[in-house]
Amino acid sequence: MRANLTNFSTRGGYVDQDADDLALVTRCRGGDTAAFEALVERYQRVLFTVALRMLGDYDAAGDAAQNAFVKAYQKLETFDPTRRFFSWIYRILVNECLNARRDHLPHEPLAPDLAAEGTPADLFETEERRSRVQAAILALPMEYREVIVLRHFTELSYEEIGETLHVPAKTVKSRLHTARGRLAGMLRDLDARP
Amino acid sequence: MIDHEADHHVSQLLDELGPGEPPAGFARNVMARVISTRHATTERTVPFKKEGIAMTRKAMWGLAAAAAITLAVFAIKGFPPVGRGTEGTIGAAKKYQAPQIADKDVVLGDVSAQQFLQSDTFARLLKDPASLKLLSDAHFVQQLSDSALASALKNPDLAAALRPYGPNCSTCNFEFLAALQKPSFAKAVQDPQFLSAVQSPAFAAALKNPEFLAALDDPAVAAALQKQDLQAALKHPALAAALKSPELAAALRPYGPICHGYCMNQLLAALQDPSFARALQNPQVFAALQNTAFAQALSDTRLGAALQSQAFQQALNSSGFFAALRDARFAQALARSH
Repeated sequence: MRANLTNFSTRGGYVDQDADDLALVTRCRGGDTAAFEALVERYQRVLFTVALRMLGDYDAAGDAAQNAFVKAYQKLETFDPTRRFFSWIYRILVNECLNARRDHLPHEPLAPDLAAEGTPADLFETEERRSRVQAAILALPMEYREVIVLRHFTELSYEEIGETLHVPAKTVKSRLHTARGRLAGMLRDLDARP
Repeated sequence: MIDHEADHHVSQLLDELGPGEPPAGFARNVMARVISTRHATTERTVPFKKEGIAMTRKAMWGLAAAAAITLAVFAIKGFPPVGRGTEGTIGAAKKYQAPQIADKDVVLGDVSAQQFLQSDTFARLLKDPASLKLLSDAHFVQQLSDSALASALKNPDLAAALRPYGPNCSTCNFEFLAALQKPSFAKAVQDPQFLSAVQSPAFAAALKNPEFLAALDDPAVAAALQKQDLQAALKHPALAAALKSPELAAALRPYGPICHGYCMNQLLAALQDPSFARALQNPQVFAALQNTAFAQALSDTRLGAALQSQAFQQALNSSGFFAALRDARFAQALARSH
């Protein structure tokens, strides 16, 4: 078993990928519901973050992430053990996000995670800036949005993103470059927090 | 192209967004839905139309027959309620009403095939990957159709004990199924004497603990359990009477199945101890266990305490100890001290 295959950051509070995902999946397939709970605990934060950045809506992100877990459980027998669990459930989540976006357009992404410290003016400015960044992410075509979200909010390597998206690592780099260029264009007038 | 400064600017802005924090109780809500999904009867359909992919229609009916046999055996004595009250499966159940399953395939006793195939239990069984795998195993199906096993499963105590591992159990079913799949357990189950032994309430109680099932995996323990002498000893009326003694029960409680957690772990550790397994394989142990006086002596609370001593553990491996136990004078001495 390999440990810490991904570079999910502990700095940001992401969940580290442990080597025993496959063991947990095997137990789940055998009917051990508690094993699935361990997978939920492990991936809830990173999947919720992905959904939040994909959708820009806190409630919709919660629903999408929850649906993704439930569908993953229901389809667990289709999971290919030679692949990474995150890559598999990520595809399920993306489908949920696409469904959610078809159902309703995102509104202001006000959420607990967007809270900031400082004076009311600082808070307003920070929120305004975050809203703009989030809106810029949402304005990206899906193929670019995915690489931005996966690279910046799950901190997967290029190779891992490629595996997740079923594209070569060099395609990931290329898309990421384009995506960042587009974001830079959209956010040119926005000052980053000092 | 994006210059370095612009790229850094984008990175800063993205970093500021940071990770999201799932709503409070997120995992709990997911698991609640997972569990309700697991228990739902109508959300998933069996993929009959996927020709040649997972399973042909013929194989599916074979599996259905196997499932019917399994659950019919389990249902003999009060396993999960079958039949009325499972109307949620009516839509899908029509698929299963075709007459392909002959009487010879489905040993249902007084439960009708149609009723069983429409049951919630059957639907749930088909959704459980572990059950499907197990039921696809010809050897297992053969075991289930064994009349001796069916007879053993008619025991109310055993049925009650097995209930927690039945198809209605969301978490422990796997443990029971996993235990059944072990060759050593399967071999033991096919032995008529073992089947007779497992009808005892004490064994039934032990089956309630998944850790006990895990202990069966130990080759030495499994081998010991298959010895006919032990099985005969377990059936001995005097031993059974002794085991019913409240005092002995109290004395053995630290090691008994009625004691969960730490205590049960001690018993399991003992069962898995090679020296204990060796002792069980000692013919003299079995002979002694069948001795009436010894069985009566087991009723003594002081002996119960002695059982826990290291000295007794060592004595178990001593041939002289068991010779003494069989000695009538020893029995008399025990009676006097009582």
